[in-house]
Amino acid sequence: MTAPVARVLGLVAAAGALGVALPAGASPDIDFGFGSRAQALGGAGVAIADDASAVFHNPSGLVRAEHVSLTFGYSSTSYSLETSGNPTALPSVQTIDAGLVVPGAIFTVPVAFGLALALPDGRLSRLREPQPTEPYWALDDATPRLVDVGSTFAVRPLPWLLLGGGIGFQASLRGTFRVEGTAVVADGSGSEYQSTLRHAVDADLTASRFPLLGATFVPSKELTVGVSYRGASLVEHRIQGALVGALEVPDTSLPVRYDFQTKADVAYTPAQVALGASLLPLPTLLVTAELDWQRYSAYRSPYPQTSTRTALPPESGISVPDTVAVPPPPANFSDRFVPHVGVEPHLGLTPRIDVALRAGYSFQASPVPRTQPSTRLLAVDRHVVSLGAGGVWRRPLRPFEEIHLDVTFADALGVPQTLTTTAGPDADHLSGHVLLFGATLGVAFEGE
Amino acid sequence: MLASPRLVTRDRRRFFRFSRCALLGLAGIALSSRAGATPTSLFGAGPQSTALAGGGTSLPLGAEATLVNPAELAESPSKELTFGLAASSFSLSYDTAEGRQPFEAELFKAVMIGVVAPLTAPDPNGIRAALGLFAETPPDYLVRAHAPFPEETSFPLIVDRSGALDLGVGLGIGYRQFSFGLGVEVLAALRGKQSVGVSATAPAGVGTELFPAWAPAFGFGVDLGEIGQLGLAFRSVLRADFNVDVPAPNLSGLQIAPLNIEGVAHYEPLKLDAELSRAFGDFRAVLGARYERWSDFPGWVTATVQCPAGVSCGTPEPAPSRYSDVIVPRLGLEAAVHARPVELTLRGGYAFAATPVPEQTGFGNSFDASRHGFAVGYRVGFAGHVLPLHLDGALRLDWLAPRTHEKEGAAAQGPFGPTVTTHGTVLTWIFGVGVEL
Repeated sequence: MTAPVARVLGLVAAAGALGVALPAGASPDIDFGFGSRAQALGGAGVAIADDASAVFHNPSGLVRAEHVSLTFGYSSTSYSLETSGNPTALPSVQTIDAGLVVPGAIFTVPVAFGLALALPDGRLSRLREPQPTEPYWALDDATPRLVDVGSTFAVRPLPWLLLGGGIGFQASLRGTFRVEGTAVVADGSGSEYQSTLRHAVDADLTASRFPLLGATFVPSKELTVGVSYRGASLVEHRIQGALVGALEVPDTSLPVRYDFQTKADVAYTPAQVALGASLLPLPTLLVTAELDWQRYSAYRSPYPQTSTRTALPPESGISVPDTVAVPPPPANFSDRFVPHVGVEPHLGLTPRIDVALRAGYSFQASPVPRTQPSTRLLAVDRHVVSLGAGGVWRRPLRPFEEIHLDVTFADALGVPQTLTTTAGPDADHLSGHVLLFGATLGVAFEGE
Repeated sequence: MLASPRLVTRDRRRFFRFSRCALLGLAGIALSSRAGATPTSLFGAGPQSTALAGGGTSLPLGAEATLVNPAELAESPSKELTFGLAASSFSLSYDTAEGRQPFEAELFKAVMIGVVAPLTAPDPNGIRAALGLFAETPPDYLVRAHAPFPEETSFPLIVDRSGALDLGVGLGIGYRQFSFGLGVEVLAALRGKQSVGVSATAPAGVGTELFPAWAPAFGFGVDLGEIGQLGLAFRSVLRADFNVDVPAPNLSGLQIAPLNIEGVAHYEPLKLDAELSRAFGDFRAVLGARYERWSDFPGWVTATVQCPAGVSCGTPEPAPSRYSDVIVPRLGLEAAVHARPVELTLRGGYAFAATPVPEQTGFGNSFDASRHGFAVGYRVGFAGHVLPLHLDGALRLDWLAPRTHEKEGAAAQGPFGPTVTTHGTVLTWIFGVGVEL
């Protein structure tokens, strides 16, 4: 194979991977971390991220990248959670993520631009409005099923100081639909399909933005300290509908107006402050630790406020009770601290090939109250144990400068616990675990 | 491995001056108020393309090439980050029997960001490759679905179509005088899978799924020597649907049919662009045309009631839109002005965009008209890397040719009278800063 042909094949492969990655995606799971390396280190990424995962872990880390690089990854998260012995029907989430890092310099000051996105199950989101009486795994039902897109910029004004910031996006829905015409009442013979109706729509997919900020301090070659802030993001539903026209019942036609309205905060990712450090006690051993503070207390409620109103002439003798919107029961979540630790020994196989093994642990306390007067929001404390490995192949062929492959396996082991509630059975006995498998491929290019 | 920058004090000061300007610009972007427009398909992608009245298929436009012709990404000489702002102001009206009626359309604004990154080391005889990303997005929303009832006045192809995120990623590969490119454009589509649940006594809430809608793009470019540069670009249909199923409302025992709230929120037709450009000293002429396949357009909404097979349906399918394919010719001119250390490029362009929308002879009032687009623009750069940035700006005026719709039958007796004549202009400006990294 000639060099130009090999380069073309390499570029086409990279483009194909990009093409696959873009229409799919993976939410930077606040439980496991973004990217296989951080996931294998117990989710501790704030002090080590130097690729596209830095967009979400610590944007300042982008400026540590030396080459234009693309990453794309896959992860599968499966839920084996039980409520009072009954398996929870939470579908697994297949996530593909992609990232781009473009480093450079302005007046010799290193800078970098980064973009990362994640699409779970090939969707931008899959959300629903739960009811207070149904068991609802508040942390597992919505957030892992959200797209996350972040774009950040980083600069290294001093050799020991790296700064970064940007914006993350999620999508909310606001809309109104109107239906007009004659609605025929069902008589058991399909008469309702004789309705003559039409509709109009005015809806926006709005962007929910949140800030991504980070700083990294490098006091020595062996020590790196990172701090980052990710703003809260709230995904909303605000939907209204109206049916205006005539209602055809046997022998008569009645003017009717039916209005429907729902609004809900269907998903919430808490604001998070992360502080972490990484240390090289040996040239071939990296140890990292991180403490996250997650502000779950700001989450109001996942439950909808819905209302309906039906207007029919009084002489029809038909009375349809209205549904009045009532404030949803509050979530009453608690803030939490999440510690992470990870170790990464390196095994230099050859000057051009390096292999690393990884292990990590984190403890995630449940932010959900143990006693709930009118809701069934479910979550358990979790011990997350992770293992992984990664390899780097330097200068494999032009135009690639490096090719990385990282794999990870993590298990979030739930601590069995009991929640008391008045919204359903007296108590919900919770147990189970969540498994994650993931792989990330990264390619760095020689560039200009 | 950390980089080891060698900082120069003067450079650092200049960097911080630059940073302050950039932060102010970004703050302005962040504070931009409600609404926005992404008029890349209508008026041009980015300031260079807009200044050429939508042209640039044969030119290396940096990150803009992602949405214009990804093959031209391969000709990008250096890494570059671009950001900027765009806005479109609509002044539309229609004459009825009651006189001239203004059509209210809000000012659309958009934030622009782009990046281009060469992937290969410079080698005149080797392969050139670069990756590009370009996005124009309204500050507050990603896509807007506005499908009014047919008799309600609308300008769907110029007002509503401009309000959506336009995101593209592309790869350009060049070898000798040839370059090839591929990319994707992305939108968001809504599907209400579970939908608006309504029980006998209380509504059950809404479940939604948002999907990415994407379209592939391919590009080709070739340097024909003295003849000039030829660029070809193909973009597939980009369509974002909405589909919300509303289970049958049960009105105190009175059951009606389920409602199917379905339609098209955003539609970009299949497009084929061809352009030839040639330099004459300090001038460059650009001549091109774009074919837009509107005849495949399915219409904005579908039937509100979907009937099971074998059941007669009272709700007919909406009348077909009967849009026509169009060809949009354009020409542009660039002039280089040397005034070291400033490098100034002036641009201008003209395009004629015929309307694909048929005359509204019935009760429908989905208006559109052929447009004459006049554009001017500039690029200011600095020779010798005095400053590693350049400024681009463009101003485009689209004049909608007056169009008279003669209503027929009962529609002629309707509230709009026997004829409706539309008028209008659209003013678009776009400003961008490109920073070499």
